[in-house]
Parts: sequence; C-alpha cells; structure tokens
Amino acid sequence: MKKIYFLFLFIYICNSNAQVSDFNHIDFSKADKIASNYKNEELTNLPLLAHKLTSNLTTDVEKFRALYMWVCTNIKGDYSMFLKNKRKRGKYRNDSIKLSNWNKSIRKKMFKQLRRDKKTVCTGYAYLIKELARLANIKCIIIDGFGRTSSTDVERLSAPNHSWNAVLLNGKWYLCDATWASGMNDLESNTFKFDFKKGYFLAEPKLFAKNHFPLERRWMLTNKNGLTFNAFLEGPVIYSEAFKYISSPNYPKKMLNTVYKKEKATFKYKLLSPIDPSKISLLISNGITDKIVKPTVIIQQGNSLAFEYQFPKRGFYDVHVIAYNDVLMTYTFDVKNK
Amino acid sequence: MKTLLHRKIFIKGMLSFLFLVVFVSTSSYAQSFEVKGVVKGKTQLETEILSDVNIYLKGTNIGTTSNRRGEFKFPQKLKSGDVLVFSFLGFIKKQITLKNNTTFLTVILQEDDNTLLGALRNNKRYKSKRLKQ
Repeated sequence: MKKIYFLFLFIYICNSNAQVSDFNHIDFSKADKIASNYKNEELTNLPLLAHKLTSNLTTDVEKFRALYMWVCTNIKGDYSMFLKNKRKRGKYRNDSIKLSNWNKSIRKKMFKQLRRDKKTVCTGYAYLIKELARLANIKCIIIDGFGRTSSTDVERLSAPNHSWNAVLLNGKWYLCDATWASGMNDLESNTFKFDFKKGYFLAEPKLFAKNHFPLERRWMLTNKNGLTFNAFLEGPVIYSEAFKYISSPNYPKKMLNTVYKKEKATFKYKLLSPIDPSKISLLISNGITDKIVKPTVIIQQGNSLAFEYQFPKRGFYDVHVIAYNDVLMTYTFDVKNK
Repeated sequence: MKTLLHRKIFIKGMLSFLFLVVFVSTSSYAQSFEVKGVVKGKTQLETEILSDVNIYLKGTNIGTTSNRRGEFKFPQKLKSGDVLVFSFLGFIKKQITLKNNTTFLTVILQEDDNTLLGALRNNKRYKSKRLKQ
C-alpha cells in the first residue's frame, strides 16, 4: 500500500508542469457561458467589463478563463497593421531612433483602434488580457519573444515578433496566447476569422515552447534542459491544431531531414489521448503535386504513437502530418539515391 | 484679582477655541464634497487631453468617464480618504487618495511603454522555397 502511495506521489511530482490539466476538476463551461453572454460589450469601460465577467465566479482560474474567452471571441486580429508594422520594424532595424519613433506613433494608433474597433495585433491582445486580469486582482504579465508560424521565415527571424501572457494562478505561473487562440487571418480573402483554439489556454510549456520562444528564458517555464534558440529555429513547423492531439512531438526533432531511398522515415509522438491510427495520413508535396499516403503504424500503445514511411523516389519533399482533417506538423525530407 | 480675572478669561477663551477646533475638525471629517477635474495623457511625444477615461471609486462600481475635453464631474459626493481610480487602455492606471480640499483634480496618466509586436496565425500550410528548375 505504501509503495503505491509513493508511486502516486512520484507520478504527481513528475507531472507538476504547469498546464491546463492541473484544473481538470474545474468545469469551464460557466466561465465560457458568461463570456458569451457579454459578447459585443465595448472596451470603453474596462473596470466594469472585468467586473461583469468575473463577479459571479469564485476561483481565479475561472475568472481568468472568462476574461480570456471574452478577449479571444471579441477581439479581431488586424493583419494589415501586422504587415505594416513588420515591414517598418524590418526597415528601421538598425536605426534605434527611427524604430523608437515608429513604435510611438503606431502604439497610439493601435490602442485607438483597439478601443474603437476591437481590432488589434498581438501586443493589443496581451495588453488587454493583462489589464482585465489585473482589474480582477489576478497577476498577469506580457511576455515578448519569437513566435513561429507556418509563414515565419526562420532565416530572417532575428528580432522579437510576438507577445503572449503568463498568469499566476494558485501560486504557479501558466502560459497562454490569446492572439493565436482567437482566430486566424484567412489569406485568400485577407479577412480575420474567429476560430477559437483551446490548446493555447494554460498550454503545456514544452509544446508551447515549440512555437513561442521568450526573450527571457525563464518564461519558457520548462526545466533548465529547455530548448535552445537554434533548436527552436531548426524545429519542425507546428500548427495550432497540433495542440488538440499532441503533448510532445518527439521525432523528427528537426525541420530539415535527409534519408536515403531504401531507408524509412520515422515519426514519434506522445499524444494527449489515443487517436485511431487509421485517421493518420501524410500529405507529401514535391512543390508541383501533392499526394496523400498512409504511413505504417509501428507503435500504438496508450498515448505513444510511432509510424514510418518509405519514399519511393528521390527528391525534396514537404511532409505534412495529418490527423482527421487537421494539419499538425510539417517537416521536409531530402530523399537521396544511394 | 486682576490676574485671576485674566486667567478666567483666558481659560474661557481656550475652552471655546478648543471647542471650535474639535467641532470644525469633526464636522469637516464627516463633510463630503463634489470632485471635478481634468484628465490628460502623457506620451513620449506630447501631453494631451484624454477623453473616455474610466474614473471610479475604488472598491465600487460607482464612476464616470471623462468627456471630449478631458473633464469629469464625479456623480456622487466624496469624502476625505476616498480613493479614485483612473484607468485608460494603453496608459498606466493611477489611484488618487482624496484630501479635504481636493475638489478639483488635474490627473496626468503616463503612457504604458509597450513595444508593438504582432505575429498572427494564418491558415497557410508550409511550402518550401524551391529553386526554379
């Protein structure tokens, strides 16, 4: 009996990474309902908004959830301001005075637009989350750093480009990203679409670190054996949908992979919960044609999943891992003759 | 005799003075007053009038907002020791504890120093850059 107790204690300590599963006993539906009841509220009175969203909730995590949910479902991303800011910051990269002046002028515009149109870029999201949380007496800060999306050019990612939040709940820090949880810019129509992704709320720090690299390393909230900046840049592309299925993308570690034609490419993941392996597929593109293939599953045990694939022809391929209809990860494979 | 009379007058005077002091101070302690003011925002570039600033009594939902000229009049009478909170998106929140004679406040909020960043999510699948063959 004592042994079992210690085993549980051991498992408990091993799982003490700060993430949403710490709050499995809490049902967020009440907080989400409150957030949706106050849909279309304006930002003209933040103290009142924070009061409306949190006064009927008792725990800090539920209060924070209501505020976060409200922001994610009411604030639109502004893609054109994002592009303009990115262009100017790139242009003034080596001129600190011009960069600082640009920052001052855009900041004023950004907050005006946020108040008036509820439209912003990630600093606006992170700022709003922080302000609302503080009004509800919850400690919350903005984290600046590097964000990686499918369109990030890793070779040119030298200046910070993204902001998110850390929040203190029950004495422990947690990470969240309201910008990426809120929705996405549809590149075809160039408009913002609300599309809430739950995986960025009190995210698993190790997985979060795959596409969020903070300027101050301690805000990675992983142990000291955390990722280096190079490993962050060299890693595979990870999509928001991955947070629905994967807890740790173990292998391949890198974006660029080389295999010989006779070898098999192996993929290994730790999942949040088991997936039907018949729903896993690979979308392989050589730049001209795309084809969907079924990999061979080699391990499927509890939350561990591994599969492999042998490329029939040499070439350079983008390989997208798909579960159901969601793209989770992208790697590239240079397949060589031997 | 003369000194005794003087002393009597002196004591009488002191007593009435004390009474006056106690009365005035207690009455002013309980006294509530109207608070008006103007709110400005200070950025690195300029200091300007701020409209739509939320002004509320700390710990309550009683409050108002500043008008187009940055002016406000608090909707209820306040008393010494009350704390007014001034909050505006993009500026650092300010709390002001009222004193007896604060009937007009000029409040300057300091702009919060944020570097504006933004990476937004999109629905694009990664595509390798390839050399034209």
